[in-house]
Amino acid sequence: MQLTLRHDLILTHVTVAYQGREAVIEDVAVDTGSATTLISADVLAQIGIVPEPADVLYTVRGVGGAEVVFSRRLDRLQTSYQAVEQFEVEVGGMDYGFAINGILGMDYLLRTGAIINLATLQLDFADVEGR
Amino acid sequence: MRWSEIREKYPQQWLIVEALEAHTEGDQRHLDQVAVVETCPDGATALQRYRHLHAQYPLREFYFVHTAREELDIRERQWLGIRRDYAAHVAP
Repeated sequence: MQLTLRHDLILTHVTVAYQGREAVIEDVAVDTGSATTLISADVLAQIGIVPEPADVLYTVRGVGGAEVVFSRRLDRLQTSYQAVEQFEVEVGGMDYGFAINGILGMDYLLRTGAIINLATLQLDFADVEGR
Repeated sequence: MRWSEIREKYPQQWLIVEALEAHTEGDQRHLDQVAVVETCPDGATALQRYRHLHAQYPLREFYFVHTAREELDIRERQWLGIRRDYAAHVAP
């Protein structure tokens, strides 16, 4: 699938499914510098994902600060034709001062065998699920 | 206060708390002394209040938690990614 280049970041869109509801999320950065996948709480609130009492909290430390996020197991996270069932993501405010709605991290990219072609701005998958 | 004392005082309640003393062991963040900042009616509100307070006081260590949890299970993760470094360059 075609990636969008903005401010030197590569952006894609993903589909998430949770308890019978689905949402398409635009402007998700493909980020090999992030071990995990993070999605905006504002977007996920629209399909009923809000903090629950038993959620595990993570404090994510990056350049210049830390943010507390909660984690949730989605029924499905899909990029293009590549779906992963029962995928755990972090959910947080993402109030960083620039407009992205998520970070597709190495947990998803490794599991799907992502192939990022920066010459053509294409994201493809070798499909290594289950390996 | 310690978390066990807060649980007794605020049973079945969403809270914003602040870590006054804390330390990290492996990937676990342990809060040794905790102050209750405010009570919230539900999880969604607690998250919104956390975001507001975190933006206002970025150096303070706030959490949104529910007192149903016997133990605070807070884990640390590092992100090498685009976070503030990028924002600092493009922010107006």
